[in-house]
Amino acid sequence: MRDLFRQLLPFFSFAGLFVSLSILSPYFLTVDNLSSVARQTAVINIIAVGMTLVIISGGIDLSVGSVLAFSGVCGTLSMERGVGVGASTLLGILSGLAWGLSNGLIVTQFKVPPFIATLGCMGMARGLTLLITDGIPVTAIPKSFGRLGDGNFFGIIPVPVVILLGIGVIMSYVLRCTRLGRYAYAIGGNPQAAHLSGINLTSCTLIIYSILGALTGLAGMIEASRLVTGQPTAGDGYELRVIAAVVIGGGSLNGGAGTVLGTTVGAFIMSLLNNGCNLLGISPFIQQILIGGIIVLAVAADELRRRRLE
Amino acid sequence: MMSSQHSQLKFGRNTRAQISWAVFLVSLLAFSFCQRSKQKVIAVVPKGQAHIFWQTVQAGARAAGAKFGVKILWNGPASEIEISKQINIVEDFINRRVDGIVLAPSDGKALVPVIERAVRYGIPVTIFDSGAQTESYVSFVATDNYFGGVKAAHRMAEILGRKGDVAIVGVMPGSSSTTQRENGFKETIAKEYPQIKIVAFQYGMSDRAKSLAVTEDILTSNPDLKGIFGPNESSSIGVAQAVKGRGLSGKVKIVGFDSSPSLISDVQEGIIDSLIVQSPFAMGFEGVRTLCEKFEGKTPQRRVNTGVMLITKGNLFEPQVQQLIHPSLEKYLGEQ
Repeated sequence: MRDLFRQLLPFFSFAGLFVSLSILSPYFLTVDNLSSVARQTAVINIIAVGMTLVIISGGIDLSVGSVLAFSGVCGTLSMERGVGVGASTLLGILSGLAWGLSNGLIVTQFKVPPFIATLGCMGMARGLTLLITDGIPVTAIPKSFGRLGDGNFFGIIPVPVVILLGIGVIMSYVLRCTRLGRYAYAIGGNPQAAHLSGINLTSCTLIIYSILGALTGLAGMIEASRLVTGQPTAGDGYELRVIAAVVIGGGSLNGGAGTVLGTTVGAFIMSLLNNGCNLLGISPFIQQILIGGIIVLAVAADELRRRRLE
Repeated sequence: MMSSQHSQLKFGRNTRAQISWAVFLVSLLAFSFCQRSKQKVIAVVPKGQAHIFWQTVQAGARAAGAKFGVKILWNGPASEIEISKQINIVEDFINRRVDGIVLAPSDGKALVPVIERAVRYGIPVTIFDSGAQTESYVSFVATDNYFGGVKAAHRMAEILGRKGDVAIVGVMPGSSSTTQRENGFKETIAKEYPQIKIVAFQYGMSDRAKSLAVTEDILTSNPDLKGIFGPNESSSIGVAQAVKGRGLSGKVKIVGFDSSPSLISDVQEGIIDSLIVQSPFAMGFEGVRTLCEKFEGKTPQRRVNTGVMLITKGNLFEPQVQQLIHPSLEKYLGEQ
């Protein structure tokens, strides 16, 4: 019962925020605005869904912002060289997956703590992105690529949102019903016990980081499509927004807790706050304070619950 | 009995969390009441917030707002590289149905779809500072950046006696205004001053600390360097700090771009020889003015040139220069 209430807290907050913004701003509850909000969240949200899996298993990935830029640049560079949009998008996703796999390998093979391993990859991916582009955005991109980030189904449902929905459903299923998902919770809850009960920590960790890498690659392609350019500086600071989404949604940085739905709601809470502040004309500086405060609140709530359980 | 006590205690904690949400929502409400009015509303979106330059743009925009009786909304990303954040902000202004948008696009291509979307919704857009690859704007209000670079090159040649090695600490690739300044400088040196050689060109990524680090490396690898050009505020500050730090003030001449209190004091102390100064105040003012003209049914000028000025120790205290480098920010920004 207690746990249920805590899990529902993000949903109540989301609903409360939604209702109050509808009352406060006449522009909030319009198709245009809701579709923008959903589109604005999709990139962070898709990465956050992958991050949920990593955080549940007790890990963390700080490299996602840089990997997002790397994938976007790889995909757009390949388009610039005449490769088709579909194949280039796939290449972008695979380049993200490669970074995820490297993160996993560094963590499992060299026993480098995930924070440090991914901090290293964050620098390497960003540096490599700037190196291969010379710091200059990739601009020669076919017009049809714009559809991935800026297109709509039936004129109102943004393409990235549909992608997010698909990924959310699949990942939710993976977490609840597959061995990998259950193992992730077990590893995050107690790695020693998981190991002793015969879970192959190495392969699980590799797969988990690779999934996040691939999702980050996909998000990178969506971002590139939305920016109509491959920006080597894209995604700066995204890792923190992604981690914040997971944490606000009830994920625990100690591992063992978190849900895809919670994370998605967490990401939406942040973008509703941004959107609401913009619509109401609240200073951007206050926006940052609000979001920072909410992250602290969410984690404090988590810690309170933990102490009560003990 | 025990267990019911326990659950009551717990309920209290949840209530507390709910109260904090309620407090937050009430504060949102309070903010929103300050925002109701029927005047025309113009949104001004800078590339970033961290440079004095943008705050001066804001002062200019607010001055025009006060003069023409329109409400100015100011919102932009914290830094110049947050392109998708800037797109989100413009989208939110469109959804809010402002009457006009004055925008400094942080990327010449990435902002095009959202500019065109605004125009589709009947919201006129004036572009300032940097160009965008679209024709769907009312006016383009900016410095002639290429000419600013040319002016810097002539000054550099004059103080170096038309010979010697120089370096450029560039701003960042993809930013069209600063790239034009860099090109104006490079091409003028190449064409008119064959004895001056540009031996290094590195980007400081619109960041003081990075510009400082890049300049230090350039100074280390080019011991014979005679001059450095910094094409914006962050580059100029980084260059000045590096030259100061190495004790090379006066030996390595600096021509910078833009002004800030620290740059001006560096000119006074002779660390920076001269600054090419644009008028961000005029950009903000003219940007808003073009849209106000549009509201009145007039056709504003398509290209508004806001001009540049060379500032040296010699002319620093002329009233014309003082007004440019010390616009009274408090006067316009204090009353927000």
